Order: sequence, then structure tokens, then C-alpha cells
Amino acid sequence: MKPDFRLLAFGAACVAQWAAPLASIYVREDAIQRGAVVRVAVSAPDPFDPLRGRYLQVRPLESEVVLDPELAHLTSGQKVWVQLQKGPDELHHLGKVTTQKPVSGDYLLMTLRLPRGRSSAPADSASRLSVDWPVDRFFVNEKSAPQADDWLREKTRGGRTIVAELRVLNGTAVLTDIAVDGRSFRDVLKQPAQ
Amino acid sequence: MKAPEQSWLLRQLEGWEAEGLVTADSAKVLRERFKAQGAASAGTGALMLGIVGALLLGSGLIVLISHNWDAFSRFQRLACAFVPLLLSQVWTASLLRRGTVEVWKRESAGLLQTLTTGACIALVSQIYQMGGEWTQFLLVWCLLTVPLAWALRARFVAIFYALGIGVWALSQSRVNAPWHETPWIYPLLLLALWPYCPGFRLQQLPDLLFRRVLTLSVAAGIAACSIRTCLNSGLPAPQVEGAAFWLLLLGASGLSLFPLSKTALTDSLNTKPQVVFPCLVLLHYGFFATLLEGGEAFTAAAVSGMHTHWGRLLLVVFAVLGAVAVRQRRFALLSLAMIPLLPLLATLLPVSLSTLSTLHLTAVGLTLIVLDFYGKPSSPRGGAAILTGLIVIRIFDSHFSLVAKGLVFMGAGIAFLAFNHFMSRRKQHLGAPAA
Repeated sequence: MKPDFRLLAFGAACVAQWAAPLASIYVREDAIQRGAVVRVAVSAPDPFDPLRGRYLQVRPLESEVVLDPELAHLTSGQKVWVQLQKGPDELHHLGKVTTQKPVSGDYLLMTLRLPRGRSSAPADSASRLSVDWPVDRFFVNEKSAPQADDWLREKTRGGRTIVAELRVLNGTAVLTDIAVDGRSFRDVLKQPAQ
Repeated sequence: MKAPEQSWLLRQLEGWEAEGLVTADSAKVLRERFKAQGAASAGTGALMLGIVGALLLGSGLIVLISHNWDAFSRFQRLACAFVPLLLSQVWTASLLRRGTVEVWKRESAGLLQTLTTGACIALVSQIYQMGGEWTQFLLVWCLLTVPLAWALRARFVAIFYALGIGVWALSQSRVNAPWHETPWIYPLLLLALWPYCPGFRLQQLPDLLFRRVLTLSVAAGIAACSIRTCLNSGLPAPQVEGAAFWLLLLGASGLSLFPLSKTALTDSLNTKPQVVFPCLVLLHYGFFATLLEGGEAFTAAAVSGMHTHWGRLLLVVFAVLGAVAVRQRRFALLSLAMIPLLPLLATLLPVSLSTLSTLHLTAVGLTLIVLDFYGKPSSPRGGAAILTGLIVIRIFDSHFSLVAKGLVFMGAGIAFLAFNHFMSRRKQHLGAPAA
């Protein structure tokens, strides 16, 4: 291997090692600063990521969409734009599904999936599919995690809803907080706000 | 030779020279050779210490990050992500500028930069609550660091990459995923190791450790493609597992037949993990198949697997590599590699898969012994072990009394020991050292 190629490879590696995280940071900082606040109902148990530590697994309760007849050909694995609409309960719900990026409103890029327990789409329910949300975990401090798990379990006893607060901008979502009864999870655990 | 044995040999040389057992020239050659080996083993020690140091440093950083320092502001935490990365990059750059550096420094720098890169992207994804499976994270990490294997010729970075892509491929079995999230891109990912090994001018042969890792990684890639094929092919649910397993066996056969250079043909089996690992899998399956009561379900699954695109591709690869193996006269290996074809053969012949497997393994055992008597590359002790294993399994599975079973086991044991003794004597008689 020639020395110039080695330097080129090293340079490419260094640039990529900075560019990849910085690009993620730029998009998410933009969403946090300028994005619309979106609240969705979720459940949040407490597992562990071997590389990134403890987190609450955020599972939005609403994950099924109804496709318009002209989109009935779409199948599991395809990317779609899903609009988010605020309901009378002050929470956001999944709305219209499109293959083109919407020009206005709050929307997210999601992946279509077959609903749980279905290995193929029967003809009568072909227009109902699940979607993968782009947020699925909320990393928490190693010490706070069991406390957070207990708090959430206690608060949700009796059917109270856990609400995930997102910042959404141009199809990108950043999870900023989790709350129950309007009380922020961060406040409870005395964490500085994101 | 280990260090204490080397120093013992070097101490004895003077006496042997005085006694006339070795000439002065021979003693000089031996001294130089074992002194050089001693220096190399000292280098290995430095390398291992360097690797352990880099691993501890980088792993410690990742574990610290896992704590999630939420008392720090976002900016402070981001600084914690990028400063170690920058420092490791500066160290690597300084080594590259110097040109020739010790192996342990190159390896340590490569590994440290790999770990600080992982720590950096882990911290960023933690701060911004990014979703996704940890295996996706692993793939991004691998892709960001593989150029370090080319730039520094860092073996352990290459090993990390090979293992990482294997683990990622195995995790990609989701139905209807887009193409770039499927194990079909595994061959492309594997190609990224080309500049490291064998190099653009094929000047770098993989060492034994790297060959072992590559074998495991490729086996994971084959398994991932086989599983994905069966999950997406619309096969009846009871056939999916059997078909995937059969495709994996066929892939293992192809892997074992990978062509060797002329010099490698005569090398010991210990230096050929791409032959040993797949053959162990095939033999395990072969013994298991002799116990199958009704092999019809597995036979049907194998036929279904053969009719998939992946199955056809594997069969073509198997046929081509089989032809090369015939040309290279690797008949002993070929007899083992034929094992996955038995379920297909069972559909054509009026015998059960169990009987066919028993007959085949018997033929393989005898072939391995007979080839050695004709001076062909083979493993007669391996053949004897297969025959003994076959006898033990068949007798164990039979309805004979415990007394009869015990006597047969003892007979097989005595025959095995006697054969081993005979082979040792034969090798000594032929002038070769007893293995």
C-alpha cells in the first residue's frame, strides 16, 4: 500500500468520524430549537443497551395507520410520510399517510410494517398497516433509571397515560421529555431540561 | 518454540558444539534463528500489552458514557464525546507522519481510535435520544473505522470490522426490509476488507487469527442470507427452519471447498480454519442425521431450500468449487462436503435419510483411511474417529442389552487404540514424525 493512499484513508476516516455525528447533531439541534412540540401517548419499560446504557423503551400506543385506496399497493418495509394531528385530548395522533413529503404541518418519515401477529396481509385488511416510529428510547442516568421505572409504574397504575414530548421539524423528531399528568419526568428526577 | 525451551536450547548449544554433536556453522544458524524468534516473541508481548491498554482505555470510556452524566450540560457532554476522539486522531496522525513505527503502537492507536469513535457516536445518540437497534449502531461504527485498518494496517481493527459485520448480518432477518438493511449487502461489506487483506496487489495473506475470524464472519453472513431467504420465500412455516439449516449446510460445504494455494494444500489442518469449522458443522449434522427416524420433513425442507434463488446460487458455487477441489485432488474433503446433498439424494433413492447418512459417513471414514495408504492428503485418524463415532451412535441407539452395548463400546475402544498405535508405527516406519 502506498503511503499517500494510507494518508488518504486515514483522512477519510477522520472526516467521516467527525461528519457523521456532527450531521446528526445539526439536524437534531435544529429540530430542538425550531421544531413543533408534539405529544404522543406511550408506554415506557426500562431495558438496557449494551453500548449506550440504560434507557426507557418508548413505545407509542398508536401505531396503526389506514392507507388511502390509491396507496393500497404499499407494503411492509416501505418509507412513508405520516402527518401528526392534534386531537381534542391535546395529544397528537397519526393522520394521513402519503408517499410525497407534505408541504405543511407536522409530519414524520416512518416505515410501514405488518401489524403484530400478521405474517401476510389478508385482502380485507390490506389497507391497515403499522408504522415504526423514529423515536424508541429515552436514555436515562444509571442511578435514575430504576427510580424512573418505579415512578412511571406507580403513576400509570389506574390507566393514566404516559406522554412523550417530541420536537418535530421537517420529518425529524427528537424526544425531549416524558410526562405523566402534566408532570415532567425530568422535574421528578431533578434533571436539567433538554 | 516457547521462550524457556529456546533459552534451554541456546544454553545447550555450546556443550553440543564442544562434543561435536553440531558443527560450528549449524550452531551459529541455530543461535541466530532462536535469537530472532526470541525478539519476535518480545514484540508479541509488547503488542498484547498495547492492545490490552487500548482496550481498557476505550472500554472504560464507553462504560463511563453508559452512566449517562445528566448533571452535565449538553455542550459539556458533547465535548466529552469529541475530545477523546480528537486526541486519538492526533496520536494516530503523528504515528503515520513518522512512517515506520512499531507494530504495537500501530495496533494500539488503531484500536484506541476505533473505541473513541464508538464512544463519540454512542454519546451523541444518547444525548439526542436516537433510536435504532444496537446492531445498526454497530454497523455505523464498523464503517466509520474500517479505513483505519487500511491506513495503519491494524489487524485488530480489521478483526473488529469482520466480526461486527457478521453480527450485524445475523441480526437482519426482518421481513420486507429495504435492501440496504438486509444481509444481501454482506458481500459488499466484506469487500471493504480488500485493501487490508489481500491488498490491491494481493501482497498480504491473512494470518491464522484473521483467517479464523474471517471464517466465522463469512459463516455468519451465509447463515444470515439463508435465514432471510427462507423467511421471505413464502415457504410453509414448518419448512422454514429446515430449509434455512440445509442452506447453511450447503454454504458451509462451499466454504470448506474454498480453493487453496499449492503450498497450503500440504499444510496442517490446524492452519485451515475455513476447512475445519465447516467440516465440524457438517460432521455434527451427519451424525445427527443417522439418528433421524423419519427424515422426510427435512428432505422436503431441503428440496424447498434448493428451489430458492439463494439455494440455486449456493449449488452453483458448490459445483464450481467442487470441480476445483477435484482438480486439486482434495478427495477426502470432497467426501465430507457432499453431506448436504444426501437429503436431495434421499428423494431419488428408496432408502431413508438415516440409512443414507450412515452409509455415507462409513464411506467417508473408510475413504479418509484408504487415501492415506495411497499416499494422498488425508486424515486417517479422523476417518477412524468417524467410524468409531458411527458405531457408538448406532449401538447406543439400538435395542441391544446394556451388556452387549458395553462389550461393543469396549471393542470399538480397543480397535481405535490399536489403529492409533498402528498408524504411529507406520509413520515412524515411513520416517515421518508421529502426530
